Amino acid sequence: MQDETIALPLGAAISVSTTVVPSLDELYRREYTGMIRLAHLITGSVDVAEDLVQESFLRLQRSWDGAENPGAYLRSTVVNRCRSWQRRQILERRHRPVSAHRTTDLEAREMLDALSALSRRQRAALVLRFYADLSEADIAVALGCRPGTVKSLVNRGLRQLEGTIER
Amino acid sequence: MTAPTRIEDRLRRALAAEAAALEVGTTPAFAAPPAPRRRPVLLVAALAAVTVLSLAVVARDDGRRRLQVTAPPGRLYLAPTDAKGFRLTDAATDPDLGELGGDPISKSFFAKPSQDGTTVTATVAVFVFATDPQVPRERAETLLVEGEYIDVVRGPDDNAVLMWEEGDGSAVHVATSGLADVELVALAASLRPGPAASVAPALPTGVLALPADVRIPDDDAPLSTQHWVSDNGDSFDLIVAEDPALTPAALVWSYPQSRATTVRGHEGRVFDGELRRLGWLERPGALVTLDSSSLTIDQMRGIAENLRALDAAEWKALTATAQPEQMMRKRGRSEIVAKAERAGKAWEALAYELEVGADS
Repeated sequence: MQDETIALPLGAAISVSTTVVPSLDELYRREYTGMIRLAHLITGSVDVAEDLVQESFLRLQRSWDGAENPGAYLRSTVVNRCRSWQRRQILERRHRPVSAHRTTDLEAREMLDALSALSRRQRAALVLRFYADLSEADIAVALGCRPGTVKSLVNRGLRQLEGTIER
Repeated sequence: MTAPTRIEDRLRRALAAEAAALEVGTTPAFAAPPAPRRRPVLLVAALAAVTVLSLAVVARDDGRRRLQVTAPPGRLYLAPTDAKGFRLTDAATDPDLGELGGDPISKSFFAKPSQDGTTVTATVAVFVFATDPQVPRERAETLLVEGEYIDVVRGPDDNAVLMWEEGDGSAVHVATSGLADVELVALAASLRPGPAASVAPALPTGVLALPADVRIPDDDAPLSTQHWVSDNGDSFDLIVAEDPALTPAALVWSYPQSRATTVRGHEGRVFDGELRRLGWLERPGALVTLDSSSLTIDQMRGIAENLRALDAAEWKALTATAQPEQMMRKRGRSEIVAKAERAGKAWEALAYELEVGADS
């Protein structure tokens, strides 16, 4: 992409894109909020979610020409980045962040606490299945695994949730 | 026993409630960096540094280690004296390679010598890190390997770094040059069952483990880096890596697909691809690399021939002059200010409000 930038006084500038403009901007406007929510539900942090979603859009921009299904690609990227972030948290031996749930619904908070105790893959699979309403095939693409693995992750995750809630 | 649907419904309600309670606010404009030149250059420089460190192997030509009985000379610092219009935007002495993974748990190197033995046409370096190296991944693509996607960061001239994590949380990075995608897939597929540190990789035909008498220099070898940029966007990187055991034989392994040349009167290598590279041994044990993706080899030779050696104080003073490039980030709304159709394609001109600040 060729961006020509015209500097203006007071630190402002105008960037004139001289390439064909794809609908990335539209996708950004349409999906940004939803992706933040998705990333928040997986990571438990709004700040982290905003960073990861922003990074994901940057990556999508780089791969825009080759992305056949940008929406699915974006979702996979967000989920992967969430998982990488969670992995780093574990590797860096940081304490699990105290869940700062936004909802005031006590039952929901109990469920979200139980959800945060699951493995990162289980949590991601459950969020994609029961929040994003994705099919097992789509979740498999997002998580980079086989559909059979998704079925296992979801079933085991649900059973663990059930056990935690009923204790 | 709770019916399966009940826990599913409760989970669905909880997720919906949490998502609804989250106030994201107005969607900001897409904050894509309008000057993306720096990061790729940095990435290339980073990869070059890793390559220099990891592939600067030493073939002992007499089969014996050289006993060093005198103290090594002082550090070699070089600075261009004929780089008019360029400014130093980044300089580092022994940069912390933690971002690039720090010290790997294990590393193994392979290369494909050309038929006449004058160069190597492909390289493979397998690194395993305890923690995931924070290599910039804005340029990362995905590669489908046996039904699962892995990250691949592609550099110029068929350079690629494959990345994935192993079951124990360690990270595997496979830096390659000169391999086709089908070879990358086969290579990754052979290593992914893991552990990559001990599995024998499926190497393309002709790619061999380095000879037993080839030594890998330490990762903590002294290293200095410089990044110079001109107003018209040209740039070059100057990297000096020092290892007392480096010999001219290391040059062949350090610069894949290069050919022999002479730089500053020293034996060196030149590679003229998308990324152009000059490399030479400025003195025994001091490997100098000049990289650029925008200058010609002749221009690079001009810079190389006019490098001046600095003492430690001069180097310190030079690094203090480095001024990071200004980074402009989009803020506020973007607006389509014009539309046109040309050559059968729809074109749009977008106007963005930008915030100017130092690149972090």
